[in-house]
Amino acid sequence: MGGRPIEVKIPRVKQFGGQPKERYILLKKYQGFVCSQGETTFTARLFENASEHPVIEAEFDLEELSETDRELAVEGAALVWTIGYHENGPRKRESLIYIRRRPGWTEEESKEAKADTEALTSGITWK
Amino acid sequence: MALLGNNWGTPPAPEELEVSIFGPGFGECVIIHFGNAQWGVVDSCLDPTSKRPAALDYFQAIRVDVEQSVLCVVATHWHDDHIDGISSVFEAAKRATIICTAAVATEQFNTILASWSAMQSLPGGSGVDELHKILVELRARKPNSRLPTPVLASASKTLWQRTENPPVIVKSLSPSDAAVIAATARLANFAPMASKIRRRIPDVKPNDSSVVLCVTLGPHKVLLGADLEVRSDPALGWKAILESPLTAEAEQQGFKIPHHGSQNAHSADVWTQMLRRSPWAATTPFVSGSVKLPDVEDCRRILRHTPHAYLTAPPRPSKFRDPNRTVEKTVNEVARSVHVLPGRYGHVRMRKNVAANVDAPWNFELFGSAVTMQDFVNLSQ
Repeated sequence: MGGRPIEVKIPRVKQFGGQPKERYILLKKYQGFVCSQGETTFTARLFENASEHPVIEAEFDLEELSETDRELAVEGAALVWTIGYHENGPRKRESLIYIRRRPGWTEEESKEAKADTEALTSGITWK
Repeated sequence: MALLGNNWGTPPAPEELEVSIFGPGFGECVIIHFGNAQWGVVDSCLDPTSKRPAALDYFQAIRVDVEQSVLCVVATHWHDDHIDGISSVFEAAKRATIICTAAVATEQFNTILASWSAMQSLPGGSGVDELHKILVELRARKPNSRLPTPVLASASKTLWQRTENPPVIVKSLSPSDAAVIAATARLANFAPMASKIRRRIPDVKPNDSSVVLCVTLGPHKVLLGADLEVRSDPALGWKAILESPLTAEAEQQGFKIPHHGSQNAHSADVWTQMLRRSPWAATTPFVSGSVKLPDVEDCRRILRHTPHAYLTAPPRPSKFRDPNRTVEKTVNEVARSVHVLPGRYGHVRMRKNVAANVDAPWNFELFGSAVTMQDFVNLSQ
């Protein structure tokens, strides 16, 4: 096949300032505790900054928690709820609820706490 | 916060008795004027606006010298909705006797207290926190031996009394011995130190160790039902009180309805055996998760016993709002339900001259969101 060669223009890649940065924009962070757990739902009391913001109480489906957290969502368990935007290119709105893991009592802590309480209550006589 | 109402800040006359009930949808406080400018406080809740104890705000409004004039402070039990701010009331009431359920003087309760010392970093506090502060205040007062000894409440026990002008007796009708044993057994089950994770101390349920009070003010008597429930075991709850021979003598003119008017705290025998015909009756709402007390059926049941029934506020949650539209939208999408604590807030006030006949009615006034139960039922239809 003869004829004139076809000139193909290779498009120039536009230069950006690198890959888009992944970032998280926190809009709200509540901390609180589980008040009660039902078969498919649980209720939590949530605090932002109790002196400036009202306390809220919310009921959630247990499905909002990961499977491992569902077992930990017993009455009194500490809980965190964050709401924000996750950006990695496109922006995605996120709600994340999780149970705070706090270590169990050490023997030393247990002894210390009991001694403190004995010191507090020993001098008080009830009628 | 000054509640709406022209006369809210008007103190009672020296010869005028008063029972005031405050409740914001999560919390409860009862204030009693014994006559002659002497007062008692039963439980505590916070004013949603000032975030101070409702009792202290009210005493300030009616110009009561808390340090000198409040002579007893009762913590009926340590659930959060009955005890918020009670340590501040006790700290201010330097001459007051503190009265708690007998369940707090047990080894099991001490274990709960000990666990609290390592839990304070958790948000939200706890009813146990308030009792811990009360014990700290008692320790601080101990060097002054002239101050009153703290008192444990149990069935048929005189907790506080005044001999004249008029004679006043504050008597506990509960907890029964069996109730204290049952409560301490439940406390032992919590064993927070043996728990895999640290958690906030849960409420003890049911409220068998709750302190029911009979307050005698001269010839007048009122019954304050705390959160005591009806149990099938005759040694527990309202049945234990009804079986006591002292109860049959009681002729109560007023009734702080127990446990926010719930069905499980209702005993028809209490109305027929302990209360006069058509007494005044009042309660506070409780709003948590899907629970809203009292409901319309609860109010209808109460209204069958008396037309003089009042609520410090309807059990309607306050709507959640957030200045950030995205946050508000997300909260409402993710949660099945959400509301602000505490909710609507109101005050039911009953007054009566001590010299009045026992059959004479008490004068009632409603402030803030307080309503008659009949109006609540009518508006809910």
